[in-house]
Amino acid sequence: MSDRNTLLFGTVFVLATAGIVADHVTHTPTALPPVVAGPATAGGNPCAAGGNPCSAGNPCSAGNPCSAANPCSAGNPCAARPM
Amino acid sequence: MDDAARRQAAREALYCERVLAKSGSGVVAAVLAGAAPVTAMAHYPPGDIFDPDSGAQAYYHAHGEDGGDEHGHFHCFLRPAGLPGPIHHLVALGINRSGQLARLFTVNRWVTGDDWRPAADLIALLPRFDLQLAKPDYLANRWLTAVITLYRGEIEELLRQRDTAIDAKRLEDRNLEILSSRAVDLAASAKALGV
Repeated sequence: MSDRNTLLFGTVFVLATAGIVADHVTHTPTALPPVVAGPATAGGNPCAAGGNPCSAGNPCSAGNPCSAANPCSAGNPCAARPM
Repeated sequence: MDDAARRQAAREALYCERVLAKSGSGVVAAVLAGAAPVTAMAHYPPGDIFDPDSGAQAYYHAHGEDGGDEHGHFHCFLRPAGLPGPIHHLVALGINRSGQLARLFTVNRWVTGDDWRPAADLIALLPRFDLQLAKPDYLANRWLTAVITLYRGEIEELLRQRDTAIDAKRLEDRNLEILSSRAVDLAASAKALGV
């Protein structure tokens, strides 16, 4: 009887452990990288939006309407004014 | 906003999280695009996310000081007239160190230096926040849009609380930073909606 109980307990324990591991693997959020100090900023607006999201260095604006390589954007708000 | 729209937003947000997780990523990780370590106060992605069709703009950053369980936050803005034009801070989405949405909050004007408007004006702009962009990550952009949609009612309340907590004379008061805040749990919100 005792051996049987041990076997049953062991089986349940192994299955529970496997379940926990599986849950951990499938649900553990991606660890975020640490934050390190950047250049000191004094005053100003520390959380201001990027001044010009159409700047050439921004790869994330849709179809980058400000890109010089885009000759077809209508009403390009970042285009230089005609002389 | 009706429950059907909120349910749809919850489904979309959870779907984005699931697909990103299955890919070994997450909303913040996707926006960081491999940046490690994260530089305090730097914008991710550099230059922000900006959709010229909707005027929605957002970026992620971390302050670096001991923020408790918060790793960083998304600042969400809207430029109703596009570029160049006024920009309004709608809300910030606090992210915990596990990469999960943990709270919504509003900030004083000196924090973001945006064009301050009363809550009623900002509430009217909330439905326009929509990031339909492939970069830096389509799923992260859709997640941001879905979260703003799902929690529109809560954000409206936070904006009203913001206006109650501040007056025009104190918009540059450095002692007042976060004006209203609310803890949120995306999974619990979805479950409450039957999603």
